[in-house]
Amino acid sequence: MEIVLETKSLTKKFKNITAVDNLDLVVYKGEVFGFLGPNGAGKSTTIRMLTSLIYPDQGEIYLFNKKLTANSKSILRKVGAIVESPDFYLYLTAFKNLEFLSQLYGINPTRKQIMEILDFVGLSNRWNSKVKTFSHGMKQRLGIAQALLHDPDLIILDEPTTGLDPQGMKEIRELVISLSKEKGKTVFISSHLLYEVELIANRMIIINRGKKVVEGYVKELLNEEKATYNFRLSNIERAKNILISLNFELNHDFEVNGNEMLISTKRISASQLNKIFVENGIEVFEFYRKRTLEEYFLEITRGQK
Amino acid sequence: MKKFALVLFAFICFAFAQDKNANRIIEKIKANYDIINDYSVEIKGKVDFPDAVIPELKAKIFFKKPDKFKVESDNFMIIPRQSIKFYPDILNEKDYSSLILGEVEIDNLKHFIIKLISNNPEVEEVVTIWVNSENFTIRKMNLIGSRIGKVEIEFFYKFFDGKYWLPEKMTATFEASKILFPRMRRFDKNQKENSGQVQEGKILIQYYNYQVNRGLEDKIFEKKK
Amino acid sequence: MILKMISFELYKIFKKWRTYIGFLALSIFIPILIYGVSEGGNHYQRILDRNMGDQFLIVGNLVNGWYVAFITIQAMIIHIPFFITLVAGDLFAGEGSAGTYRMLITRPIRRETIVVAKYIAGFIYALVFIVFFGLISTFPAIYFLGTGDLIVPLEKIIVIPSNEIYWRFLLAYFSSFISMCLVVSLAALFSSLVNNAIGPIVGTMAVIVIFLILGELPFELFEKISPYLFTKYMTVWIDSFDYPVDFSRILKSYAVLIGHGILFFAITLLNFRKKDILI
Repeated sequence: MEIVLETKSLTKKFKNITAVDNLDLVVYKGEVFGFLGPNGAGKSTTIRMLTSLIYPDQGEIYLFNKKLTANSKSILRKVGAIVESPDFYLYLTAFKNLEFLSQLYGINPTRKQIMEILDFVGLSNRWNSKVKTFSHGMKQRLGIAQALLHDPDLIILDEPTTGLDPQGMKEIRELVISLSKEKGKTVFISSHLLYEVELIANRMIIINRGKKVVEGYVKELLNEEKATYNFRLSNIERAKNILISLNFELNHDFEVNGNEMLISTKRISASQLNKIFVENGIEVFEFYRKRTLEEYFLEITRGQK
Repeated sequence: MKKFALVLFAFICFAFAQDKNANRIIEKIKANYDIINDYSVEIKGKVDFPDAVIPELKAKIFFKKPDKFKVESDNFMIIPRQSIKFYPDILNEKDYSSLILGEVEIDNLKHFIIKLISNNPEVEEVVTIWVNSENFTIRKMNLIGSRIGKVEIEFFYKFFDGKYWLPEKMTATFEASKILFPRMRRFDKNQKENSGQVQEGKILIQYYNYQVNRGLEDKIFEKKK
Repeated sequence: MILKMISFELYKIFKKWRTYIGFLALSIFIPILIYGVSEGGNHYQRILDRNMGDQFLIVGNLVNGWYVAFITIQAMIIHIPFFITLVAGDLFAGEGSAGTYRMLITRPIRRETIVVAKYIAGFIYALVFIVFFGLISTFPAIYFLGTGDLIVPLEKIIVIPSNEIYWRFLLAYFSSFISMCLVVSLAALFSSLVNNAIGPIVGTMAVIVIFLILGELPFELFEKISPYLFTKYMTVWIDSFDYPVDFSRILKSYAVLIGHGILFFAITLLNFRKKDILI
């Protein structure tokens, strides 16, 4: 697979704080790559380095197999980015902002092209409004529009759904998926919301305190985790004995909390467990899958795993 | 006592005689100008003023008796009032004293020196004139007053049209410090303090193309609104 | 690309309200000044007439349009840098406070190009402002008060004949432009260091005012350092009204001003090349 973006031992320090610490990552052509980490993990610092806003103290960044530091001008021509919130010249209209920003790529888009992009992000009816009148969501969409203007191969989006309402988040997610599926773009998307990445990314990396914690395909990472189920039962003591008889270890494979039981297992599915309890005369009031990728992510970033 | 009365009588007689002689000379001076009802003349002027650069002036003067005048010019210049009337203002007053101080030779010609003092106590200027004994023109004029300091004016005459003695050149010397130009502050330089020394200023005026008694109309002297 | 960047910068400058504060201020102040002089009955002429005593006459139209234009420059010596700084102080910091640095620097443009374009746009603004200043302080004044010789009542009293006035005013406005380019350079330098325009505006004006005051203090120490303060050379415009014009002095002032301008530009460039855009 063709590598679009690669970092090697990328490091950035701010005084005594190491914001990014020997970070290695690889992004392949055509994939949506999720860049995850809690707030302050070093995601924005990494993205700022990828977009030449700041310079690494150590390590190298390769984009399209070229060193970024030496070829930033030619590389950035193929990159569209939103770094943090997309801020525009508020006193200019959406159209004028896009016209100017595209000219800085050395292209002179026609009015039709700009309107098409605005239409793609759902802002064609507000093309002549000053950006200061835009909502946060509209600015985010305009941000995506400006990142697409010059038809880049790689699109870097830094937490594009931050501050949006659920509907706005959904719209941006759909936009990102369509960028990948319809336009065949490589998308590098950072987020601190795991479920968001779960919904749109093929591969992901989780970083914490500037360091890589885990990297891989989203599906593989999901398979790797144990399923955790929460059961509310009529007879906890009996259920406990049944599980012990099935070689489950208390406080390792399962925990008891009042009349609830938290069971972690890869061996037995939830429906099988349900069947076992019922067949043994235990009434199952409720059961649901407790462990999600979100919890997994939180555990990793807390260093609990 | 008799002796004193005699001396006093002699002095009064002398002073009276002096006054009478001076008045006679002044009458002759006035006669020179009485025949000029109006005139116009072009002038070129040059001012030499310490700490000032003033370019040569070109102007046209119009004068009509008794005291109407107008100076027409686009240029800026300072000129003495006497450069228009050619004699001191005090001679237009009715109540003044005159005294012959003596005689002196200027350019090999005898000149009377006459002191003119206004009897109006509000006028503090004292004027001394040097009068040509042959044509009774004022060759020199000296004005002293606390406000104006000392101003010395010299005239150089020519006989025009076989009738009129009129100056073709005038020089004025004055105390520059008495003429106060309001000045602006300059930010890049510390302004020099006045040294207190008396510095002289000079004005030179040359007259050309006199047109005398051509009947200048009054409207020439009306000020533009 | 540089031309596009410059036009972009100019477009941004002239789309901002603050850009017009200076123009507005001049449009209000100068007509008031002209009105004051014409209606006030030639105050200066009256002072002069009074000071001349009874024995001297002032000849010529002393308080004319040129005189008003001259005192306007003199009066605006502090204000014009302020109006210039209002815009130049925002050149870089404005991008910082608006967050648009990120938009700008993630484009395939060299950072040097951004700095050069911003500086040139700042110089063009200064030029436009000085041209406007020149036009508004001469044409209406001449229309209402006429022409004539210009009296320059400074340390020396210089009367400039009317035929010499045009080129002297042009030289004065050009000199003002050179001075304002230095103000642009200094304000832009400060602007590149921070992300809020207030700091550079206040900082630049503070430097100018403090240097002017230091250069004026009548103490030996300050008189010694005075030649090394660039503000001393910012009043180079006034040398256009000297007699005779000391062109070597003017060129020396230009050299000092341009030299400082280049220095400020170089510091800005070096700093901005390596600047981490963290906002």
